Amino acid sequence: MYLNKIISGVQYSGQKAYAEIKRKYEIPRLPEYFLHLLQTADSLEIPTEKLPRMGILYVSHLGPMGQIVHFMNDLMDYTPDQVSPKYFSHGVFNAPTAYLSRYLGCHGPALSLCGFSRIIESSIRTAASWLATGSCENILLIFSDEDIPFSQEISSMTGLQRFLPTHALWLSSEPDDPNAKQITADDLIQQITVINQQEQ
Amino acid sequence: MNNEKIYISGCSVNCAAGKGWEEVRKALFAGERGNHRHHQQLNIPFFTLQDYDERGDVHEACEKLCREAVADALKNSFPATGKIPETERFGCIIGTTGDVQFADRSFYEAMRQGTQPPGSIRHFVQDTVAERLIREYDPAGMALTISNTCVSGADAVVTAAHWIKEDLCDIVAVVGVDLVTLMTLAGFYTLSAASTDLCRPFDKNRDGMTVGEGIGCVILQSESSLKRNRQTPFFRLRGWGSANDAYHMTAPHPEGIGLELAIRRALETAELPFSSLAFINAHGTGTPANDACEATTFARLSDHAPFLYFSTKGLTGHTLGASGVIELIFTMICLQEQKIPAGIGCTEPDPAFPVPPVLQETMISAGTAMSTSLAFGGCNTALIVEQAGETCI
Repeated sequence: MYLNKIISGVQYSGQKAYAEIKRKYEIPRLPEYFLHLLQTADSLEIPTEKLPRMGILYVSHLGPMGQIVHFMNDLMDYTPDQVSPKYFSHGVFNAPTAYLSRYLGCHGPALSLCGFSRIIESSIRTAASWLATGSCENILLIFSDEDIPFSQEISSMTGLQRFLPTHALWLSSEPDDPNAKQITADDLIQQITVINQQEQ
Repeated sequence: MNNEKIYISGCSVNCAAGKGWEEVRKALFAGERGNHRHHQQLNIPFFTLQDYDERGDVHEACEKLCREAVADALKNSFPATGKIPETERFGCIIGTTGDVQFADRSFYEAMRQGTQPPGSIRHFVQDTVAERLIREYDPAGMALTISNTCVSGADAVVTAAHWIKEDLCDIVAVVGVDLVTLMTLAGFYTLSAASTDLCRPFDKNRDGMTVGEGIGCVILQSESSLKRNRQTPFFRLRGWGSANDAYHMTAPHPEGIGLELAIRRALETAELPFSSLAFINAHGTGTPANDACEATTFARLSDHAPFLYFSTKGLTGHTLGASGVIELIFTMICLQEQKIPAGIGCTEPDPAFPVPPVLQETMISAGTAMSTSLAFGGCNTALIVEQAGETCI
């Protein structure tokens, strides 16, 4: 397995940066969290020819929590037949992955993974198994939780350490970037675990 | 990557059609709808498990079902002990749509009122069900929860296969589970995806899906693990493939490009041609878009050779994240019975389909079949399973 590029601890960029992403990908509107993920992926500058067969792994504790909260508010404030369809479709756990696939043009496998104590190890080993079994030759692996007041409130309520900061990695079965370095799953798990601890 | 063949050594199932292989087998060929009721306010039907009215907190109920399902499936695999031998490395993957979304309404209400919310959130964020189960079965093992909406269960099977091929595990318990909640009913209703009648997959008058619930568990095991433990293989997972449409958040690609890719990848891993399949247990939700996508894609791949396909969602409803595993088990039942059921709910197939689905119980003579799953976000997964027909002793 090769690690071509990694971006760690990506913060929300704000409306100006998102305006550029929306222009680049011709997006009329998307929730800010999804734009954050797309911009993060875009920052890896993965060559266009790699994208159609690329696999995507989105890893999160709570997924698109902002949309889920909006949907729950709808359910509490209105009758069930009045809830917003977009909060439902954008609140499913794989909605971020879906939009990454769509706007990057990736037809490879796309998985959305949820977990807490084992998620870093399990997701990296799953990515490595995709490459080893030939399911795809390139992978976009994104770790992220939506940084919103609700998530912060849950964090303080439960004592759970801050949720997953956003990291994005471009992995491949062959070195696809001049700076690519060969890496084992064990070493990558260690690296991401350390980065997470530093960011939290 | 190793050359291990992957077998299914045990399974368990619980859905609107019944609980357990035998009960579900009878229901599959009885030609009647499974357990269902009607949501008065939304005016849509939905399929349920038998214990729907006794259920409390949905996350607790889901965890209880997962524990029972894994234990029951392991009893199939290891009838003498019901336990995983110490020599074997174990993994647990759960595919689900709803159990990853913290949708406890009482929690949100308490937060809004500024009162102390119930402890459900602490339990939810401590670990997923899969992570709790692996601590009990094999603390050194691997655990994962996949949430890819309606292909979650099928993708859990694929991921388990990869883990075994990559020599990460010898045995993996794969669970697909979802329970009906107001969130899912209201959500599909507001998307205009839910029919006001029980679904009619592939019918010319179909107008939507019917939400269902259930749980299925299959135990995937490597060939060498079966031999070490002198087990008889049940079925073989012969092939698998996943691909994305990269097209739309809720609608499938009208030409089924992702589905075709997934099916082709499954046939490649199985090293089989499309024509070798005895039948396809289609996703067949009853929505105009899904059923048209599948019918036309199957026909295109068949290259004018005859093929059989049907949907079981008229019996159980759409069990969302559970459907991939439950319908894999249905596929196995049909292979064992050497017959396939008429698709319940389809009385007059859509004349736009190049090939109509099976309308009556039909005998088959081949030992390999495919189950397809499609989902929000353009996800597509195909699984190929065959009768094992051999022993390992």
